[in-house]
Amino acid sequence: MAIIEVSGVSKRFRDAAGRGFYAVNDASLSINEGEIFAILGPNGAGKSTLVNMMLGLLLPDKGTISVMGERAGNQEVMEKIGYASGDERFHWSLTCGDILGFAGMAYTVNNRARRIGELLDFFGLRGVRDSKFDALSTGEKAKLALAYSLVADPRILFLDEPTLGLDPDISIKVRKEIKAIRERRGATIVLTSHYMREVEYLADRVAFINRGRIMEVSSVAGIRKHYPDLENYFVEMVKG
Amino acid sequence: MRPYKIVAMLYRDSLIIRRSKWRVFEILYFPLTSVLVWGFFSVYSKTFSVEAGLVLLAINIFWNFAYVGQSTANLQMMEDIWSGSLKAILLSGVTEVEYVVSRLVTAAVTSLAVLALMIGIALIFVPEFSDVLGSVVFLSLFTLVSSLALAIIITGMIVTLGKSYGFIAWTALQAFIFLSAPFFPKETFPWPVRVVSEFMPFTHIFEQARYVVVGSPVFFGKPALSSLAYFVVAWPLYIYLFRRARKSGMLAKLG
Ligand SMILES: Nc1ncnc2c1ncn2[C@@H]1O[C@H](COP(=O)(O)OP(=O)(O)OP(=O)(O)O)[C@@H](O)[C@H]1O
Ligand SMILES: [Mg+2]
Repeated sequence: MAIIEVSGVSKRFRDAAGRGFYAVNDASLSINEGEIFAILGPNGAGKSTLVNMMLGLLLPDKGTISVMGERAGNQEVMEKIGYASGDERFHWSLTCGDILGFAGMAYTVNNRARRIGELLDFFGLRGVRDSKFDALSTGEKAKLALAYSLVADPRILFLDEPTLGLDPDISIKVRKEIKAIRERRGATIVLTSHYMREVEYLADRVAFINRGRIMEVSSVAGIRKHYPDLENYFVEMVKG
Repeated sequence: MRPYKIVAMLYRDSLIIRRSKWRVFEILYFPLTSVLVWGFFSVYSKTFSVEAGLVLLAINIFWNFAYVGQSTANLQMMEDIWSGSLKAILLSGVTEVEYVVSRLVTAAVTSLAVLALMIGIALIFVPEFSDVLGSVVFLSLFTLVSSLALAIIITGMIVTLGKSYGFIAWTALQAFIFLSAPFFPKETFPWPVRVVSEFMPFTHIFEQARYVVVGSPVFFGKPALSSLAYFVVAWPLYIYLFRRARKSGMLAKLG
């Protein structure tokens, strides 16, 4: 069953010279409940634009996006989705505990302290609970962003380059954690990433987007039948 | 509008203040130094013009009060943008209305506390102020409503125009105050400015404030009407500007 339905969505922006161009051009796709769905494509292809429209932060010029049967950005939908990105930022003077505490309150999570404690342990952030955001390392920030997105146990998790700039060993840990989130909670995950290994490890299906157009939607298993690896697939797809 | 979302935002604001205590100093610095300057001036001016001293002191109190009200709300928003946390806030299901209401609550509490301090100090310099305290409090409420209305509009403008226009958070009020004829009757302006002045948020408040301190009778009709008009117009304008920012892509890249 589709939990996200994108149909005929277009978004135009103006470039520096004032010329209009399509950041997303007549995109349609449906994402199934419980799957990890990756959106791939070169820089500037329109991935973040598409995700921002699913989040309701950006309104499409044309077409519709429904999330859990409601219009994207709908108040009830917002309560059930989480978002984290690898370069997510929070207020510099708040501590990890403060930041997660705010999320707990904003989502009226029951048993807030216990939930936050669980997440701190899950991501190994217990030791920096009282450190201010400014003082965290890149990896700790990325993990905090993930923890933040999970406070309310979302049904859909949007991850925009969740392991951006992380060491290989931390990336591997974070990936395992993402996989565990899906396994444990059955959440649907929408992922964008430039690390093909990551996509190969995590995703069930991939949409390839280039110059705003969705070129292809295929399963990772299907891609592996025709290409030695995802990197190879990516390069071929960009060539067109 | 859901109260728990606003409570969560206020909790966050209180943590930010608790984690950086110098903020209290920053908020108090200009209002308190300025009320001291004009307080001493009012003492000095008793020898040549009692009224000038009183008017300067009173209007400066209203000016600082309006500034703290509007700028607290808008600077908080700029901080959310600078720190890149606006996106996380909005994605936590806080709607644009809940967001701005929480900013207005913090701004109102902060500016009323500053006002109480300023009036306290003014009473030391001019004990006779206590006779007109009631009217001053009434006019302060209209000032608060007007400055919060401006805060709502400026929030909408920054969201639509982008963070490079963030400077209007701390500059816009100056122009409104100037055009509201703070220390002098609006008739002092040349005619085109006079017409503009008639429709400025603080013109009628300042006018009545000048009457109050010299013991003339005051009328609250026009100040009440103009501040409410601004407040009522601010909301649809804000919602329109926010929607525009969602369409143009500005909201998504604000931070
Ligand atoms: N708000 C905006 N206003 C104008 N142009 C925009 C806006 N947002 C994105 N763009 C442009 O739209 C295109 C698609 O951008 P988008 O951020 O969606 O790409 P992306 O696929 O996420 O790229 P990356 O891999 O680099 O993150 C780019 O050319 C970008 O410059
Ligand atoms: Mg992107």
